Amino acid sequence: MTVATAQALTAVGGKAFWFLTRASGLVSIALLSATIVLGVVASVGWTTQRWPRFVSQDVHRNLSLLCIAFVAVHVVTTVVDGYVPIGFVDVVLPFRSPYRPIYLGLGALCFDLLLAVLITSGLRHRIGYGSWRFVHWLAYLCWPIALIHGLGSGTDTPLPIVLLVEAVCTAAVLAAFAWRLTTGRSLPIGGRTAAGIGAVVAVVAIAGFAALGPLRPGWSHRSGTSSALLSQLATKNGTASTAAAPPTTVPATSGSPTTTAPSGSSTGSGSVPAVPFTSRVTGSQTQTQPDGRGVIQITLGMHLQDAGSTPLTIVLTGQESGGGGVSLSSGTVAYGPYRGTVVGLNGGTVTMRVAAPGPITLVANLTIDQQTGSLSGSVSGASGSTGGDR
Amino acid sequence: MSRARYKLVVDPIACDGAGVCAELLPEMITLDPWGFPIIHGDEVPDGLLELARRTTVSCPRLALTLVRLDKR
Ligand code: HEM
Ligand code: SF4
Repeated sequence: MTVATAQALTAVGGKAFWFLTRASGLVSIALLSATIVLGVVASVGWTTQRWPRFVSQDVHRNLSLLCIAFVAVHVVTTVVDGYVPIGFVDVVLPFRSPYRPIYLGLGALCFDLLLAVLITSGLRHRIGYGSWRFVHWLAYLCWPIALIHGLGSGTDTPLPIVLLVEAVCTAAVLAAFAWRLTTGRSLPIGGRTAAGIGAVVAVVAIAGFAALGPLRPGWSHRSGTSSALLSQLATKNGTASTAAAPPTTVPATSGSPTTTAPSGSSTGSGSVPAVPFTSRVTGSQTQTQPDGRGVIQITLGMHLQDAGSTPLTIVLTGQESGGGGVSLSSGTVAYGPYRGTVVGLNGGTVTMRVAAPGPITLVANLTIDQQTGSLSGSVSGASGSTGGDR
Repeated sequence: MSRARYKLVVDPIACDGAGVCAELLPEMITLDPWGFPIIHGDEVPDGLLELARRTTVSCPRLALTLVRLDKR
């Protein structure tokens, strides 16, 4: 997928990638379930005249490849979409993404496990039966992790069709697992009992989690999306900016046409600090109620602690999406008397391009207190348009 | 290029007797009453070599291997 196509898709569809992410995620869990069921069918040695064991095996293998292909689409579209600030590093290194760290972390963990299962299967003859089997059993672990990842991070979790798919998959995998435990060869009885109890506990825990967490209103807020994505990310991570992940670009063209330039605070002294500089800032965050079309604006108003107390106002415009999240579509900046746009948003870090009057780049590292809406952090300015590029 | 010659060998300890090999290569493998494979013939004929190779890959226990006959 080239950057050009990515940009075209973002410009045309706006949300095309986000839809692809969600759809491919759902297909992935279904394919993963089918793969596991067929792995079990092969392992217990079930055969008929019409369906010999090698068929189960081959279908199992091919489904697993299809599954990983969908997972790849799922992952790539998530990163390229740019709605959530996730880099390619976050895809394999769990628990470090600023967006819903736990649930995306589980997704990354699952991806790692899948790759391990896949790669060891390819090298089955090299690594020997024992090592292959051991790694292959991790596939069972992969499944509940994938499910929790989906429940916890899915925008669509409460949709009936999604719940239906997940329920069917759960029933199928559970039944297969029970079948495997009761018919399987070469498993000590203690191990089977432990695995059976573990599975039951896991299912009850996941069901309870789903009922208490994602299926109750306000989940995206609690899990770290929030209607003020930025502030949530900032509070989750302190001011530590996630430098390794590529900055997420907020496309300035797509999305809501109702973008308004920030106003009010633009009557400052007219003098802004000479670049380069770094200044502490304090201010507050406010947010509009969604309008008729679900468009909301998040305003981050702050003042630099320089001689002129230069005002800096960032207005992020976004579209409310299902589950209480917001898909940010554009951001504008008022900096003293000057104007600019938001070019990157990554965790609590906002990157802005401002004509002041020559081009400068401002980078704000912000922490927002969810209770009071007050924000603090630092802003640094540099000449030119370095940093925060696509 | 002199052609390599192979025979099929079952590792009786690793084999679980589930018979995938007999499904895939009935030309050379049948099952005894307990489901364990019996290999017919010594050298794998030329025309069956590729199939035999794929059968060894598909053995779930990796219990079936091709062993070279001419190099010992
Ligand atoms: C997404 C990747 C995969 C998943 C989730 C997966 C899952 C499973 C599961 C759950 C089992 C049952 C294991 C047991 O209970 O002992 C199994 C068996 C098996 N899998 Fe996979 N698998 C995957 C990929 C592959 C691939 C790529 C191969 C390629 C050769 C493969 C070959 C096998 C074989 C040979 C068995 C044993 C079948 C038998 O005993 O007849 N798997 N797999
Ligand atoms: S496929 Fe492998 S494990 Fe199964 S019967 Fe044949 S040799 Fe034994």
